[in-house]
Amino acid sequence: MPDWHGYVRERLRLGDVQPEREAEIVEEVARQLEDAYEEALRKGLSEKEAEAAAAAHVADWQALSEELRLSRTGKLPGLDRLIERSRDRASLSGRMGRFAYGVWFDVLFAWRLLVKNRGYAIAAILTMAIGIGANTAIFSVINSALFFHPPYPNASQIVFAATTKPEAGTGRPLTFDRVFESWSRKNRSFAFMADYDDIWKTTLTGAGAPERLPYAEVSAGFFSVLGVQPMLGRTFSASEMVVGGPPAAVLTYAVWRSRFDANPDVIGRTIHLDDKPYTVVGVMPEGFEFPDFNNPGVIRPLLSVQAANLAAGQFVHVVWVVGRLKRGVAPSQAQADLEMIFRHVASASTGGYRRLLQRERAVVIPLREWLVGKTRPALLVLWGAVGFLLLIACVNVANLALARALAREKEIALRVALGAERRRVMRQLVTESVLVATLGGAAGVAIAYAVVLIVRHFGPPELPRLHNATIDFPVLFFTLGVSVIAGVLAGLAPARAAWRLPTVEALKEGTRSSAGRGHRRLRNALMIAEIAMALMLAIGAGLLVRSFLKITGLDLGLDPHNVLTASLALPLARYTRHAERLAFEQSLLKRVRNLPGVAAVAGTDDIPMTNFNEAMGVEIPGVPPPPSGPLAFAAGVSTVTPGFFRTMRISLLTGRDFRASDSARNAPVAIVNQAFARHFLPNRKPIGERIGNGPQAMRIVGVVADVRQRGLLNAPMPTIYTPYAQHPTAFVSLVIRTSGNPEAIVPALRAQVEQLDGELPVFGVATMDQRLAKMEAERRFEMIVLTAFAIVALLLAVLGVYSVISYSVSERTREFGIRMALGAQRSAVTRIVVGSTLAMALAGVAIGIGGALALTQYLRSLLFHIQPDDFRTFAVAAGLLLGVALLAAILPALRATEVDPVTALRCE
Amino acid sequence: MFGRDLKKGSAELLVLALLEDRPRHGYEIGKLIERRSRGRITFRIGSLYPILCRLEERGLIRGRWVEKAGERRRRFYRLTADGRKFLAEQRNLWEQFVAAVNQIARPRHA
Repeated sequence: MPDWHGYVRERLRLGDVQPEREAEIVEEVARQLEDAYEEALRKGLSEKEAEAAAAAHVADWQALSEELRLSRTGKLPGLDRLIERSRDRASLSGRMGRFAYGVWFDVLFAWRLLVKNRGYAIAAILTMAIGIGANTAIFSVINSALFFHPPYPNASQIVFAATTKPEAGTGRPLTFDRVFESWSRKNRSFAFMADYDDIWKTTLTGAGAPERLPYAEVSAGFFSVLGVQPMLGRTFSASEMVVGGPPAAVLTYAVWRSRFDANPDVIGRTIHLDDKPYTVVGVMPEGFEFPDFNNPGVIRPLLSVQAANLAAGQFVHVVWVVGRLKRGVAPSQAQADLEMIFRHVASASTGGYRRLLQRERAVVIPLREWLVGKTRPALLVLWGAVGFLLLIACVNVANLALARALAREKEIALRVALGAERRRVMRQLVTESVLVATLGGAAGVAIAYAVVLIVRHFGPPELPRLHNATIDFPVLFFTLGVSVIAGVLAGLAPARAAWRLPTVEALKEGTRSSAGRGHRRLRNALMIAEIAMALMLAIGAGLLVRSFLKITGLDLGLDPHNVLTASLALPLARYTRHAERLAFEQSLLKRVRNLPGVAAVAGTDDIPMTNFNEAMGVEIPGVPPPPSGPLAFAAGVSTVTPGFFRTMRISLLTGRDFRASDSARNAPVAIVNQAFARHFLPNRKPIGERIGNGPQAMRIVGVVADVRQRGLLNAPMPTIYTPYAQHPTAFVSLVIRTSGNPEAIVPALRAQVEQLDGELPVFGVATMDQRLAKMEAERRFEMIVLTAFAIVALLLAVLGVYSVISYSVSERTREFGIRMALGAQRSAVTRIVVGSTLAMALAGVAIGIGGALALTQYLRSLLFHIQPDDFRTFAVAAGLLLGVALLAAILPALRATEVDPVTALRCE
Repeated sequence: MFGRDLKKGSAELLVLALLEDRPRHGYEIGKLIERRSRGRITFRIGSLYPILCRLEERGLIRGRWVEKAGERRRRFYRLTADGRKFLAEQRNLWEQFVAAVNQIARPRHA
């Protein structure tokens, strides 16, 4: 018998089929040929004849190899197998099953098309990935920020109560302790109410190296309002809440861990805060947060108001007020309640205090509302921006799909002609686009994950909960939803085109343009929409970028480079007398001045641009007070040592700097800034004028340039500088100008302080440049993110506009051929193209400008020194998009008109 | 005897029908088609084998190597549950199709 096995092996060419499978195929074919051969022998044929008869069973080995290979490569054919199977199953199943398998078939079929059209698939999926990725990233931030729940039981009952001027925005909800005192006694809306104060820092000693810690003072009801109890120990007892009672402190979890090694025996131990002993009575649980998220390390009692006021004279204390509403009481009811009480307090008070209170009113702000309200505009603007980005991505994918649908017009028409329901064909197209969007969504999640990591790393700490942003289940659910919606949106255009497709005409040769008319109208609409959306994004981005440039281009009034700042707080217990503080300050300055690399050094109680620690009402004898207005009588007060202005390079405009002789023994002097001179002494020479009355009146000896002490975004405030020697504060900061890297002198600085006083921590060590960078971190971050989104969106939109226009122009090659064959000039044809594109682009620009005018209003809170309808920004953005549109029209038009008319006519 | 298209369209139905009552090996299926159609339908190995492969891939039939005493190893195919359902449906469709064609194509006698 012939070797059929060898015979088959020699002829079958299976390519990359797996070796085991190949062996199996060879064996089975050989076995069947053997059967045929043996049967032929049985029928009486000769061996030769039988061999020929068996061999005749496979006439075309190449065709057989081809057929087996096609279904056996395990790659694409695996997919084909699935497709076949889903088709079989669909025909076998009941109604539901038929639908399910039908959809599955559509998905597999679409997948095969994508695999075959890799270029299209990659372009469409990437476009979707960018759009969906941006949305997922922003949603994950929004999910953690806006939909955040404060970590307290029944947190919806917790509110802030404050008094504020009606015109004031959402700042910090604060009020005065006296107002709180009346509220807490007379209100009928709150189950618990407490005030607290948490902006101060204290020096903890007696447990390792001295450390500056933020601390809070809370009144009796504080822990009941929040509904949180200490994890160890207890809260403050009534006796600890009054002046003269035993000093007690509650530690937060972080401090307990880091400073006391999480030792439970800490309860009852004595710690020293600013050199005064306190007994630790409790430790708060992990995850406990203050309502304003300004988390302190140590909590002390806020001693009851009557006693504190007695001790501090007429001192007015500004406090936070939190309350837990009684069940069933709405915040608005509570607000009305507190407002009534507040009016009584206001009318019962006297003097400047009364004037102040008269202009304010009580507000009650739910805790969540306050936490979220601050960031809501920024986040919603971001969300809106990425929404546009996604729409643009959808339009681009729709366009790609539309162009492809056009190319597949004949295939689709054929399927419709062969009896495929149009509905099925449409479903197929939409499925394809949803598949693209879902794959894009998967890639988008990867992009979003990267974005979230970056945001968490570089984002400003001020955005609440930002650092908890994760891609979690709700976010993934959101992404899936967005992907499906985006897919359906992008699939509608080609599906609609398929619906309207005139079957018979599409099947005829060369009738593309007639069937394409519906397509073209649709594509034109998409193009106009795309230009409009891109323009809105470009305008938004432009406004933010210009705001950003304005902030960075501001005149600071000082030179922040090569300046180190550091702070010290002299404990009042040990530095009781003015002379002691002055002596410390002077010897420290002397030591630092002699350090290598130090060019100049000075002391101040306010590091430049970090707001004032003190302000005062201004009265200048013989000069009428300025017309009233907010802060009309107030000026910030900074205490500085001689050489401060030179060190910070703040220009001295007239008069002189402070000198050593401006001491407590001599008459008080002051230096004012330009804003002060303009505001309080218009048209007068400031030098020699006196601020205040009596022996404490300060004589103005100099005028310096303005510094934006209250932050970059606030106009310079009238400022009085006083000499340190006349006002030796316990809180001192050094500003050190260095010849080289300012950070290089930090160890030497610490060593000098250590030598002078081993118990004194140096804190707030940062260069002026670092402070500046941090100052506008939040704004900067918003702008960087928004600008990045806008640029990506702009790129997508520009690419989309370009591809749509150039595609639709190149599609008209045949028409141009006819026109030119009939004698039209190239320039005339180009004019037609440019004219029609320009018309559409102008329509898009008009819509975009209208939309931007409506939407940029919401950007107002993010803008600085620029109006939301800034003409230049609008003009530049509109010009950019018109330019892109024209470029996209002209290039293919030139190409089209270079074509020989005959060739153009023949094409298709 | 019949054109290629007609044969191709019905081949799957024929193979499935032959496997309905018991498993058979490839060559046997070809022979049975030839015998039962009294030689009017014939499949060569080169055209029948790819059909078997496709049906198996689609999960309608399943092949297994069987060694019987004194015989060579052969691959026997049997109908799967899906195949059985598919056969019923195809058979039904085929009958309707034939009936419809007959209704039109049969000469009408007045």
